[in-house]
Amino acid sequence: MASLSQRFFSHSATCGKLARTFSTSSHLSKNLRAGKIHNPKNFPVSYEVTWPPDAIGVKKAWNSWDTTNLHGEKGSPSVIFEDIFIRKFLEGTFPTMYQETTPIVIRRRQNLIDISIWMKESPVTKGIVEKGIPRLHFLHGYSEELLSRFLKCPVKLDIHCVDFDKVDKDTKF
Amino acid sequence: MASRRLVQLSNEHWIVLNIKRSTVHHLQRCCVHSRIKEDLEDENFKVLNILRDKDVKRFKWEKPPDVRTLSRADCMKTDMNWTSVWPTKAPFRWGSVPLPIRQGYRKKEYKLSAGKYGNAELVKIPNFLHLTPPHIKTHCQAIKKFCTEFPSELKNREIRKANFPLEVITSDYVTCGTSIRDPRSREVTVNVDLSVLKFDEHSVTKIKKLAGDKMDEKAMTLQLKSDRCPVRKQNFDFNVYTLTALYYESQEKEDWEDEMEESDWVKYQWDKTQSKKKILKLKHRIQQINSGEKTDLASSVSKSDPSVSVVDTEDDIQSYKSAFSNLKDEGDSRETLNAYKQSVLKLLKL
Repeated sequence: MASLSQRFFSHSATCGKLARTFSTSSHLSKNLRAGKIHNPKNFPVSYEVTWPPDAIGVKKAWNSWDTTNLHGEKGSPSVIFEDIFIRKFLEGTFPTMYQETTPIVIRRRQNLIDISIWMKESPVTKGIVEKGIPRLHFLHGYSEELLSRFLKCPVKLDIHCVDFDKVDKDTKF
Repeated sequence: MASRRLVQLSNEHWIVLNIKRSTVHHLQRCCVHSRIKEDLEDENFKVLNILRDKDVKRFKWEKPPDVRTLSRADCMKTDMNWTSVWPTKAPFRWGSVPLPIRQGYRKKEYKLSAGKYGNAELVKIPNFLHLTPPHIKTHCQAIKKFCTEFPSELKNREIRKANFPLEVITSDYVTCGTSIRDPRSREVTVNVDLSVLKFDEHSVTKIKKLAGDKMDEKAMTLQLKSDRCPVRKQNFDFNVYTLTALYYESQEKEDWEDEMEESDWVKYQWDKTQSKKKILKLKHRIQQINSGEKTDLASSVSKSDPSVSVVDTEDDIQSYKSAFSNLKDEGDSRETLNAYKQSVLKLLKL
């Protein structure tokens, strides 16, 4: 970064106009395209979806917690790749129970990966009671085992079963 | 006509009254009641009016909550053991934390932020529910058998400093990756208290020259840093090697070190300068004048050696020496100049 800025400044010295375009402070202009929701009928929206990306760290927290996100640490690309893989894998293994609007929170402590995921309560308790709960328990162990084999470290999966209608009613905007 | 009626005495106690109702009976009752009321009302005694008391609420059977729908937090007692509920670090679970916690931002100010039920924000943030005071107490009690008491002699800081002059600082890095190695952990810093080692006047000045920025001259401490070798142990060994090399090099005196001129001195040495001879001569002359010897100035200086009669350990000369070398070392400030003036006045007895 330092070498880049040095190169830039040395270049900008020759043509004076460029010097104004470069600033090292964090940018104030927000990404206006990302995080917009199309909700004309005013359905209840989850808290995660409500706030755009620039509210991260202000009104909502990060979905991935690890040391590579800290300042001056290395190895973030591999961690981001693994996180995307975990998210895709879990969405695929729980297609009916997982709701897209909720986040999958991945926390890493030393070599342990701690995952929290929210599931719909209704198909488990109301609909297919006999099949649903054993299937959920099987998929829980299955995904933990497979992920730990893929990523070569212990993985802990926490499933939070909630009634999303109740949650939306509670956090309606 | 018989009916049952429930009357609430206090919050929890109910009594059932069997009341026979007939018109005559009713009238009688009313009369009796009014008579009693007249008699007793002035004594602040409330009379139980069974039939006409309309304030008595009808008993309503409330359905008890379904145990299956209750969360774990709802069934918890107030005196339960929290360490057994939350033994280790775990993500927040709304069902097992019996606290009215809220998290999240609301646009409307009058609305409360979202509760704990299904709240993703509470799960995202790191919690310290596994580090409550009872947790730490139990942890400490479990570890206590592996600990030994800190030696009482070493509680004094100065004794500790004298016995352990070497301080080694290393740092370990814990990251979330699969590798436990970190290149930054090889750095080693060694702090040495030099007051334990033996130094004479020459070696102190020499080690100051050799160490340069690594040495804190006022506190007489040496800070050696190294990250040039790939492993921590090698870096530590290198630091110890530099320390021994610095010490033994400072003890040696080369031949060319005597050729130092006045401009090379780190500290001003008054004894080696011309100033000392001149001052002694002056002192000798003053003594001569005081004793009444009237000799020629030129002959007296050449003939008699001033150091014989004048000793340089006298008070005024010592004070002049210290003031003058102070002035040379620290530069001219108001205090040093004042001290110099006082010493000169004392020397000349003015």
